[in-house]
Amino acid sequence: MDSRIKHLCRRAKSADKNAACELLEIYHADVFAYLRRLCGNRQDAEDLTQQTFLKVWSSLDGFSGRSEFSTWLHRIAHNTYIDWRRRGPGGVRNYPDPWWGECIDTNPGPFADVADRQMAQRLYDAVDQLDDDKKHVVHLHYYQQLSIRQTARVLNVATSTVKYRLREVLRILRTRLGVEENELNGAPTIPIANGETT
Amino acid sequence: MNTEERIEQCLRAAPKPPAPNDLMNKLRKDIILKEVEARGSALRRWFAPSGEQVSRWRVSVAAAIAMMVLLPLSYGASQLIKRFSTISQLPGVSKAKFPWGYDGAALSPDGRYFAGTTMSFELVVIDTSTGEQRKLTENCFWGTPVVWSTDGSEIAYLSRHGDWHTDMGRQPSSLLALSFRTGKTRILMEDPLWPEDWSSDGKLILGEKISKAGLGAAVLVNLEDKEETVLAKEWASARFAPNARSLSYITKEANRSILHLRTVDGTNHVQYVDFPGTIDKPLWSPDGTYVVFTGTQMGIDRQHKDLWALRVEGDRFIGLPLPVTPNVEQMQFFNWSQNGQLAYVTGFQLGGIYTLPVDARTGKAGGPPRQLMLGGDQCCWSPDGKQIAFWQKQEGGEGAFIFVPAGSGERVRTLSVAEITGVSPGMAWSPDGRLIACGGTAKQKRRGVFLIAVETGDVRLLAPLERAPNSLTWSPDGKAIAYGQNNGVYVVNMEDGKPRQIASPTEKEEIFNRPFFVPDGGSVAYAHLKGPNCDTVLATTIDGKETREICRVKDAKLNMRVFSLSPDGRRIVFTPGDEKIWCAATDGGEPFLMADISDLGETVFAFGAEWSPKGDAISFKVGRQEYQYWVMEDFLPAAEASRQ
Repeated sequence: MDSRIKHLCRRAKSADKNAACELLEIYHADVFAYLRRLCGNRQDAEDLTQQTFLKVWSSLDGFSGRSEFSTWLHRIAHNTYIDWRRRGPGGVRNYPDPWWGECIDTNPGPFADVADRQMAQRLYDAVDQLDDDKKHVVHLHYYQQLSIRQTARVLNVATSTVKYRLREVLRILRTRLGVEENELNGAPTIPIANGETT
Repeated sequence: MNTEERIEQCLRAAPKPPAPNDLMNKLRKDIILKEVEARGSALRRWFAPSGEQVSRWRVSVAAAIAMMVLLPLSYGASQLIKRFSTISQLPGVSKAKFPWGYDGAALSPDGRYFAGTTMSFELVVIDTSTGEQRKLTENCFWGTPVVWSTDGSEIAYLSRHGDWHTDMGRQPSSLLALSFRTGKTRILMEDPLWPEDWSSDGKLILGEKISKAGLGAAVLVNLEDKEETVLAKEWASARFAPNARSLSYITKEANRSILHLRTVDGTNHVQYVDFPGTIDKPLWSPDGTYVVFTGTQMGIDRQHKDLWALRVEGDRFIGLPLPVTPNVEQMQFFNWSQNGQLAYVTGFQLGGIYTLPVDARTGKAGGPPRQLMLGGDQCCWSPDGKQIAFWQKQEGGEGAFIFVPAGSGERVRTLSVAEITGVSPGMAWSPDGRLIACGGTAKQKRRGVFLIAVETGDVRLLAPLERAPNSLTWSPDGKAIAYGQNNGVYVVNMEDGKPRQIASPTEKEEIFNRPFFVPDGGSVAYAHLKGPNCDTVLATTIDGKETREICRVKDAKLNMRVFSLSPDGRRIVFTPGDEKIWCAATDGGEPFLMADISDLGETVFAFGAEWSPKGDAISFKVGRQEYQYWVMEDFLPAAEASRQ
């Protein structure tokens, strides 16, 4: 874990509000983005972000530092979202969620090219239609940029499970994008002992 | 970039919903922190209940409790640790000159010896505890697998006929068994195969047979009646189960691997088909309860490999494979010995292409060697000596020629040649500068002499052949190409594209190879090997009628097997396979050391030296091997291991 984050956690544990504010500053946008993408509207995402951080502060003394702070934080955010979904209204999503289009229009970034933008939009829609298990690994690994190991810890599954789900996700997305299978498959390799100059 | 990578890139670059401006303020207000009590306070209270001095009596009691609890716990922990994977290095093995990328070595059943074939054509065993290396025999076929008998008394290996260095064809003469104690050999098979495994009763061999076209097939051979059973028409890594009743092998279909389990007599055959990727080199655990294999999961990262274990009970696979060791892509596995050690190598070969300035009058080095580029494969000089072209596989597996100035080494041009899939050693640039000739393999498994247009990259198959030729050389007038193949020397005319043999060895152990047109264009010089070393360079007229000796060295161990003839025909430069580059005059005289590259590293070797067209420099390749040999034990999960 980053030594600065470790230091902030230690200070926050000893009731240093400034340290807690710094942690908030670093992570609140990430947590909000994660929950906004998942629950599909701004108001619920804000509520869930607040709930997430309330849980963080109340259980901070139980955070032993064995995992990274961001992993622990994402796990709390993930569980908060799951609880919200179970409670009922969270299961209903408001379609279409306009933030993506607004965001792209105001700040095209890597999607300045129309074709890229269309592909990104199609991918985003396709991810939304994935089942929950697969959708969560995409959100955590790709959108939130967590490693496979971190993703596995957040979801409380084995790293091999995450790898398997990612592979399935890519297969599904590839199919939905109408890409030919053979473009993606490399030729099988045959183990042949090398010659002089290979 | 392929589509999968594009998808991943798009997902990673997905925009992030911006947090509302007032969210931070709301969250700040929610911060409620409670001070955590110092962890030391509870202990302090116990040791000093009065809050003042520490009680000695309580400290003594605590020490006694700790002794009573910790000692048995530590014993239990050490037992527990034994359940976890342990690895240990075999430092002595690193000194053996095994070929790079070699996966045919094997640990003896008791784990005491490591056997393999070296680049010097020797079969050696290394004591894994002392590092002592012992040569068991020479003239074996290097780069091929060796297999221990189950009792460790014999080693099966291929004796040599053919030159792997310059002849891509594999022509081992026979499969022999060498007694580890007496050193005596006996013939197991005259018609040889690459051995993969030897049954515990010594009566059956599993291995790969290679057709003349270079295609492999996995076969089971009864050594008594020589009856062959073809298991698969491809390389299949077949292995006997320790009980010798069953065997396993892999086949590939539609980019997926199928793991087969069948009884030796063929009465039962099951397949595991659900692995989502490629299975490589399945090996049996010594007790026969697991098959472990390296697995690449397609769709995640093609380079990513884990070690998996699949349980076997009787003639069936049980359950699904378990990942047992992650990230083994840097590990090349050999075998799993009966004492429970799985042997593997890690490491890599570094190197590059170098040039060395040479005094054209004396043939002596005119300065230090200079690195032209890292990596690189085959290379050849342009006819004006100003450029060098390299063959290099690009990302994605396609081949390309890289053109660099011989002086600076800066890449000036890349010419993609997607049609060619592999190039054999020794390519040549035509005297008019328009074509590069190389032996190799193209798509649709076409093999032969290819001509590539330097400007456009157009490919033409001049002479289709069953196997890829090597060491191509242009006649000075550019009307013919000579090459080596099947231990002989051939010439093909540009006009008709029909090859004809001009020199063929008469004895079984003879090899003619590495042809070079002599400057007058009337004859072709080539190395004459008899056994592993070459002490003579011969030249035969292109009509094949006359042969003369043009160079001979007294010490055959200097080995002129890989040589290049200077443009004036007065000298040859050769690399015996170590850190030295030698030069010899064709009109007699003692060979002299042209360069010693040992200051480039401890494990370097030079090979494939080529004269520049003006004779004022040579290019050569440098390899540096950095390998470590290891054994791994108890790597199956504890729960699984305890069932064994």
